[in-house]
This record gives sequence, C-alpha cells and structure tokens, in this order.
Amino acid sequence: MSEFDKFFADRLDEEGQFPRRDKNWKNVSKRLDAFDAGLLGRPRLLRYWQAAAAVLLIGASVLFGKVLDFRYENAELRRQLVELKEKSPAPQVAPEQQTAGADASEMPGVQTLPEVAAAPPANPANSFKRPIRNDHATATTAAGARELKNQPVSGRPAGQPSTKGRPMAAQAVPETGEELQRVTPDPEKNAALPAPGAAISTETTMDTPADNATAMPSAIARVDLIPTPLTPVQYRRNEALPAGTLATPTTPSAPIIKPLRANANRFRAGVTALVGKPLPNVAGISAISGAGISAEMTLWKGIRAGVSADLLQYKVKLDRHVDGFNIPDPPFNPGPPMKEKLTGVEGDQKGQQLNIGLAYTVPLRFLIRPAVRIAHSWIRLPETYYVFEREDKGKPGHPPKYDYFPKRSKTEWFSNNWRLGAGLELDAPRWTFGVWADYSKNLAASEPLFDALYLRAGLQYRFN
Amino acid sequence: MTNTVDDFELTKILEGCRQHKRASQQRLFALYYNYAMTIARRYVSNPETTEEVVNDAFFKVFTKISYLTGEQPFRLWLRRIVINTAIDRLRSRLDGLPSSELQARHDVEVDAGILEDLTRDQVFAMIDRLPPAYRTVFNLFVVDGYSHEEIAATLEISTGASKSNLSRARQHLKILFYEDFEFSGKI
Repeated sequence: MSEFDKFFADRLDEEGQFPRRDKNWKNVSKRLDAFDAGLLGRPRLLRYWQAAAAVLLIGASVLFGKVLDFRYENAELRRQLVELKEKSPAPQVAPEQQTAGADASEMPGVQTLPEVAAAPPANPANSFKRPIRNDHATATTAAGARELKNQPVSGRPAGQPSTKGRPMAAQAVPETGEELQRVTPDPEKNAALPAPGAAISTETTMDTPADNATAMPSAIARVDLIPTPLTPVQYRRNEALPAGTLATPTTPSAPIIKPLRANANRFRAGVTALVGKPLPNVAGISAISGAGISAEMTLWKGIRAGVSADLLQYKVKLDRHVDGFNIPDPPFNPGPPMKEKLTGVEGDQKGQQLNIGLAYTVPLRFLIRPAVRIAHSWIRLPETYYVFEREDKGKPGHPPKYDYFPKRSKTEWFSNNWRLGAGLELDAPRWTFGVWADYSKNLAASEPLFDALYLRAGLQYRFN
Repeated sequence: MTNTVDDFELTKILEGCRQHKRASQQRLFALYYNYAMTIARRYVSNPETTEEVVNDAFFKVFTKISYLTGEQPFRLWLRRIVINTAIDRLRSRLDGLPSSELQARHDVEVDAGILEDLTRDQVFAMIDRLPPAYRTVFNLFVVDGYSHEEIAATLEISTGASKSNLSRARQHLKILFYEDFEFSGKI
C-alpha cells in the first residue's frame, strides 16, 4: 500500500462524532417493536405447525413405502400363483359342476381361476383394485384349514403335518412313481404303512399322482395368500355371481372369504400444501403460501362432503396504501402532498381458512381421474403489525426525512367466500394423491378481502 | 452512558440483544453508532441517507443477531453489515461511470508531506466528489481491506473492472487534491 493509500485509509477510518443518535434510535426502536410483535407472538404456534408438518411428512413417506412394498408383494404372489398353476394338472370336478363351470366360463366378464392365473395383469389399474393378498383371508384361513383337515378329499393322513402357510413350491407334492418312492417312509421304520404295491386306500395312504389332481384345489385352499381359491374370480365389480355358475367346486364347509375392499373410499383424511396469488395481482403483495388438513366422507358414489382447514401467509411490502388486504389506515394524517407522503407499508399477514363443501371425482377407469369441488370458506385474518413509512420532504433544497409508524390491524372474520376447484387425483389402494387449482371468490364486495387463485397438492388416506 | 466497553460487558449486551431486550439493544446502538456512521459516511455522501443506512444496518443486526457466532468479532460483523447495506443502497447508482471528466492530469504524483496537511473533513470532501463507483471500490480496497476478487463478487463486476476503478479513483483523488491546493495557493 502506498503512502497515498495509507494516508486516506487512516483519515477515512478515524471515528468521528455524529449527531441525532437518539432520534435515530427511536426510529430503529419503532421498527423493532413492529418486528418483535410479529415474531414473538407466534413462535409457539409456528413450531407446532412445523412439528406437525414434519411428522406428517415422515408418516406419509413411510406409508408410501409400504404401498410400494404391498404392490411388489402382490406382483410376486401373482407370479407364484401362475407358476403353481402351470405345474399342477387341471382339477377334476364332478360332471354337474363341470356343466356349471362351463356355464360360468361362458358368461361375459366371468373368468375361471385357471384363466385368471394364466392371464397376465393387462391393466395396471387392476393390480390397484384387486390385490390378491388379503389380510382378512389370512386371519380366517386357519379356521378354514381346520375344517379342511377333516375332509377326505386331500387324501392326507390325519397325522401328516399340515402344509398351511407354506408356498406350494416348497411342498413337494409327489407326481411320479419315483417321487412317490422317495417320499414313502421306510416300512421298517413305520410298520403302519402298507408295503409298496399293496392296495392303497385313499382314506389313509399317501398321495398318488391321480389323487393330486383332486387334492390340488384343496391344497391351494390351504395357502394363506389365496383368499377365494375355489370360487371364480370376477372382474365385474358390484355384480353378484348367479347361483349355479361356479366354475370350480366349492368346499361346503369352507368359510366364505370376502375380498378386501381395496378401493376403500368411505372416508378420507390428509394434508395439503398450497401456493396462491391474489387476484387481481398487486405489486407488493407476495404469493400466498400455506398448508392444511382435510377430511372427507363419501355420500354417494363419487360425491363427497368435506371439511378442510388451511393456514396461510403472505408478505406485504407496498409503496402506498391499498384496500382489500385488511391493512389498517395509516396512523397519521399526512400533510400537504407536496410536503409529506406515505412511502411504505410493510407487514407479514397470516390467516386461517375453514372450508366446507362438496367434491366429485369422475368415475373413469383410469389411474388419474378428474375431480371438481365447491366449498364455502370462512377466513380469519388475525391481528398483525404493519409498519408505515412516511417521507417528510422538509425545507426546499434539503433531503427528505423518513419516519416509521407501527400500527396493529384488528382480527377479522370473513364469510361468503367461495372456492371452486378442479383437479386430478391418482388412486392407490389406500391413498389418493391429488393436485387441484382453486379459484377463491369473495362475494361480499364490501369486505376488505381479495380473490385468489390457489394451486394445491395433497395426500389423503382412505378408509372405511 | 460510556462509549467504551470490555469484552465481558459486550458479551452480556449481545446476549441481551439475542433475547430481544430493548435496553441491551439501545446500549449496543449507542456504543457503535459513531463507528457505523463513520463507515457508512465513506460510501454515502448525503448525511440523511447515511443515517438511513445505519438505521437499516442496526435493524439487520438486531434481527439477525442469532447468526453471530462467538468466534466472530462483533465489530467486524457490524462493519460488514454496514458496508453491505450501504452498497445495496448505492447499487442502482454504481452503473454508468463518467469517462471523460478529469482526464487531463491522470499521471500526477502527490507529495506525502503535503497530504499531512489535509484535515479529515477535507479528505471526506474529496471522497464525496468521486463518482459512486470509484468511491465504493476505493473504500473497499484501501480502507476496508477487500481484495479485488471480493470487490468483484460484492459489486457483481469483473476483477478487471475493480482494478480499473481503483486506479481511476486514485487518479481522480490526486487531481482533486491538486485542484484544491492550486486554488488555495498552497502549491
């Protein structure tokens, strides 16, 4: 650094004495009052919302992962079922039942079990709607298996261990004479069994290949993962199968296992994130952001009644006073416009919306379906500190001076506000993901409230 | 109210500011008001605008004080905030540099002995007459110790432009210096 630079650095860095310190402190103090009022009043509520949002986000992620696992497991079980059916011979059924089965297979929209097993899932939507795995079936199969154990159709001795719960691929059902020899216990070790070549009673002896064909349907019935093994799978929903159209024999004593209502949609509840923009757009009013919760109940088919609550916020940084945003009047009477004028309005406005309305999802057979909704909103704008900046031009030839005045707005409730929305929904077995565009219209023109356009994205859990 | 404070008391004051205690904030404002005004005054020639810069800077200090760590000296942190606030205020005026004025005596040399006769107010008067872009780069480099890379990043200009502005600022100051002293008959 040269002498020249060093000289200027020393001189310019000397700390001088400056006037109007107290006056400037008052200005800073007023701004801090406004800032603290906006900051200190709501940290607890804000923390609760942040914590709740974090928990919901984690929960939604976990549940979404479970949905994916569920789908993967279904696909794997479906593949195992196809392999199983390919390996096993066709089941033998009684003549009258064969006739009935033929009748059933001729019915439009009705498929027999082998057809279903062999058919690949053509439409991914079907994998959403009819998962093979059934928790209810798992719970009731134990009772069914106990009854099946007493039936002679399987040809399994009473002392033979049950195969319930094991995949068929691991059960090693003997199909050839060699296999039968392999699995037949040594006569010396088990004198109760007849010698090879002796007459075998189907009531008490081991399986034979011929018996396997008969035993296979009931063996399948013991597999936990197949809820209705002996009833035809029907792709037409909400349509009862006529009597006498069964394609395969039904075990009379087996409990009727109803398939799980995968499309549970009686109730739904979830969370929403949204962004919005006031209409008409005003420079200085920021975008609206927020989050909310919602709950809905199906009234009839795709029509639902719902309630939701949203927490919203937006920032105000205007160079003038505008109506329609619940901003209080300036806290002073400006003098002559040539001398004094309002040059700034700042605030951080929060609000809550409570909505009640109807929604309708168009019942299209697609993964993504359109939906519309209408809701009435009650809007609450809590008290908020606004800071007004005033410019005093002072004497001619002198620079202007600025003063700051904080003022608190009142808490206001607004009604007669309506929301019209349209969106797209994606249904998973238990979840609905959706994006919507909502137009919020304030029909009470005299109230200081604005219209807005919102974009919402949400996740809802469905249950019955 | 004294204008000096030791480290222990400063720590207590800063802790009070973190808890939004108005008395601590007022004490801190009083302690560093002149220091902040001195810094802002170098960048902004208008006294009222200088006060606005300082008020804005202190508002930032009080609202962002949670970002101040114990390892960072408060004085240096305040200095940075005041400089950045002043530059933000001047940013719209940093474009459009004069190119033709004061070009005649760009290679003059200044005697260090004569410089010593300059008072602080005279130095500030010379600095105020520099174009804002030159004055800002000169202050950042010579007084506040910024490198050309830091200046380039702060002002969003190239390093070459920073060096060029600094060189021209020095030449302007030398020319102003000779004009003033020739006018007063000291040279």
